[in-house]
Amino acid sequence: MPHVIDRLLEQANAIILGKEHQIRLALACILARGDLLIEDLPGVGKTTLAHALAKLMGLDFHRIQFTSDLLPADIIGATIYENGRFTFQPGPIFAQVVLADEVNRATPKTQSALLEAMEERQVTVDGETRRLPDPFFVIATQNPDTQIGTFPLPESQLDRFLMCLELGYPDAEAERALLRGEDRREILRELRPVMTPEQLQQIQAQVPRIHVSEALVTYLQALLEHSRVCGRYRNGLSPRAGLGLLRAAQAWALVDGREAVLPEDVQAVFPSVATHRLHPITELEGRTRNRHTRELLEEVSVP
Amino acid sequence: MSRPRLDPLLPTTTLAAMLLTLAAIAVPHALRLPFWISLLALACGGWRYLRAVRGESLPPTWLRVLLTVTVVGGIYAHYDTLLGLEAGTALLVSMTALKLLEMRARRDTHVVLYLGFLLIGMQFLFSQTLPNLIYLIVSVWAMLMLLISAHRATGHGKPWQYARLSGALVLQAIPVAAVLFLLFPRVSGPLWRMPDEGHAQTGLSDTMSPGSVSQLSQSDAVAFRVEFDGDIPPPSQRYWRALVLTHYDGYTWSRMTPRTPPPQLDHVPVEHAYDILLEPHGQQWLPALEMATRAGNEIGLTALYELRSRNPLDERLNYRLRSSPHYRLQAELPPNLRQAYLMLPDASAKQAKELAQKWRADSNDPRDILRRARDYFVQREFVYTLSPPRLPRDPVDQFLFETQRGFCEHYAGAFAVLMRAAGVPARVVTGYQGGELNPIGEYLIVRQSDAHAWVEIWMDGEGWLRIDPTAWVSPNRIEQGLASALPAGEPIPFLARPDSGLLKALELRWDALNNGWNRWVLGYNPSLQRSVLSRLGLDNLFYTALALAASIALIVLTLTLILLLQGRRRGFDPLAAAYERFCRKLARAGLERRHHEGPADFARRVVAARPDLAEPVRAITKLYIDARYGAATPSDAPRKLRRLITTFRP
Repeated sequence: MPHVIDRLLEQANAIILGKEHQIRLALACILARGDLLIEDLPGVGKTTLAHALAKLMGLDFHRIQFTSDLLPADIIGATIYENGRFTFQPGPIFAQVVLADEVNRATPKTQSALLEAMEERQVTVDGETRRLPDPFFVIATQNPDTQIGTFPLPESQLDRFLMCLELGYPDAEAERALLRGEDRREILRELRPVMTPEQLQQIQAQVPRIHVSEALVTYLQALLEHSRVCGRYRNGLSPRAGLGLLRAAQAWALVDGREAVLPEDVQAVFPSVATHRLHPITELEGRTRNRHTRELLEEVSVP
Repeated sequence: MSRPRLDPLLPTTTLAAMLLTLAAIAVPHALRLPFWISLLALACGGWRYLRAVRGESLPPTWLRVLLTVTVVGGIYAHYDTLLGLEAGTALLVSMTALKLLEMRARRDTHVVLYLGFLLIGMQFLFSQTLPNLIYLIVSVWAMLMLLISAHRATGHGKPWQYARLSGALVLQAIPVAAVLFLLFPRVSGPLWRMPDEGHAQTGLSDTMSPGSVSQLSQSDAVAFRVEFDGDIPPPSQRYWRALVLTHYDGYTWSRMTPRTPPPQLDHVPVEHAYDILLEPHGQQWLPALEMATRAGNEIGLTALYELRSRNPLDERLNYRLRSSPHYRLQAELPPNLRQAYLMLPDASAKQAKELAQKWRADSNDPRDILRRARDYFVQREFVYTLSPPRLPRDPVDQFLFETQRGFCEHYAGAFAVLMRAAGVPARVVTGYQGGELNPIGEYLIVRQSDAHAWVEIWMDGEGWLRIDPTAWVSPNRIEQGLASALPAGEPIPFLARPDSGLLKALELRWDALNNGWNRWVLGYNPSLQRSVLSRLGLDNLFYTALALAASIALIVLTLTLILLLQGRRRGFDPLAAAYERFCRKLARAGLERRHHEGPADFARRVVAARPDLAEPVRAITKLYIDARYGAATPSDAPRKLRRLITTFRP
């Protein structure tokens, strides 16, 4: 199985250059059955990443561009009268990988329709409940720059994303390679899946079986506890965040080819799991929220 | 080898607060310590602060060891010992300061803070006054605040939250302390010897010469305080006898105690019962309201009917007396003693002797002689003053016939000489006269400014009678106190003035508070405890309760110990301990594991820095990770790990 994962990573890295760590995190997020939020500027490869992952895993892929006039029905689908009877026209949410682009441009009503579907893995239209496909995975993107007419996701909604990533600009070498290389869309089109959806489900099923020792639980709990008592955040991490952190660390260990979770695994996924859930009381000059989270890690001893 | 950078153990503001609080706690000690220790402590604190601000590492071990050895040597050189209260305090203060230099982990912070608490407590071994208690409570409050913020992982928090929390803790502790104070069995006498404060002698001395009492009158320090059971006697009866002076050498009156048992005292039983709380004066005399009829066993009674303590008074003394203003002391005087009370030096007071002999020639009756003497003082222009002219030649003659200005010691001395010359046995008594009623608490404050001298003359069949010639000249001195008796412009001590307004009222309030503290807290001895407990109805219960409390305490202690030991065993992880040792070995080689660093990351870092160690480090780390975090821990893993680490030589 690791063989498949390695090939997937290798292929993805060939498309998105210089972002090994983020790709690994995104993969761990998928394996942990979590949804992913990417907060970054336009044009750094968010869509390409989502598309590539879907393609490599052999999953079908829908992209929804969120706009301020997007309605819930535009996502979920609607019942329409056609040929003398009512039929349900499924919306773009009925796909295995859904890319919700610029989710903060839609109204809260539309946003919550997406998030509810994400949470329940099913949608209800006209009293009829329809299951979403399995595997199902949402990649939402958010433009961090405050713009007129946007609705940033509220904290309670942010908590539903297992991870929040920033891609960032590629480094010089990667960028040169990118500029010299082929058109990314060409590569994407030619991409062949390295696994089947069934294989993905099998791997996902393995994640909870990655061993978690007593010592690691102690460490993880200390981290959660510290986020609550350190006094820097409006709220500490919730138990749901703790469970997510554990699952993500297990997935990370699996991607790394190990059978037990190490403190390092927790540390690797911690910034992306915790940062969007923690809101500093005071924004300190020159410190990004990411830096805050890393400080938090440095304050808790590994037992 | 580069020493690791200082971890941000405490935010610099917390560190600064901690250093300042420690300094405030050490200041009262510093007043008693050799100068260089205070300097050292200041230097250590400053050094530690600068290092923290600049993020530099702490001084190396050899320097700290060197400093410690030097300081201990210095203290030994200064005190000739390392034991005892003074040397112990010096040691504690300097070691606390030096500990600052190795304060790198949270544990060290706690050690420093606990040392601070110890320093606060030690302050009480030196002084137990009420202001000191307030100082103690404030210090404890500040220290608790620091302890709380040091316990909080990051120290990020609102200072006032810590202040409120520690304030609540202090307030919660006060009732517990009060109950323990009341109920905890007292032992008589202090558990430790209080430091000698140099046996400074204050108050009256064993001799009286012109100027000695008036000098005392310049001080408004409290001599003693008195609480009466019933009515307080009127000012004219408040004669506090302290010393009886029998011998006159022409200038100075001094004590010469005959080696005979105390004389017979007959009295009409009109009694005052009262407690005297005497401030330490480094001498043995004990004041008593004229005339004390009964005293406790620890108080001696001399042939002159003075009360004496066995040892010089270095501590405040509380004693209970009964006195009767109507008494007959020593109705019969043996001829040899009578002779002694008539002795005068030949060369001095010639004019006075002439005058007295003239009186005697007129009438042999001591009553007539006394009347003549009284008329003499009343009819002449005698002035009562604190600043009389100097009397270099003959104090009695010069005073009686030339200056006629004097303070009580002049009147008493001259009158006693006159009486002796006229054949009436006489002696000078020094003590205090008067005392101010503190309306808050209903007790008398007797100050040094109330010091007074008078005379006792002996009459056949009546014994010793108190005669106060000052009262003839200045009745106000006796009725209303020193201040109203002196002419305007005389230097009267501030608190002896009758009407000093608000400040005076505050002073009286403060004195009442202090009196209560001295009497009920510092003076809380076994007998007082018994009486308090019996008043609370706990008398019979006391020892049962004591036994009960002791057994409960024992049980709790045992349980705590058991739980602690169990906790240790449960918390002890042989794998973690072995790995700890591995990390220590690497730390000595300059590769310290950061406390938040996972084992795999650490191993990567070590291997990158020291490729030569790659093989053992990888093996140890793999074994450790597999055993500690893996699915199945082989039972021999700790042993294997220990063996690997024992042979590991970085």
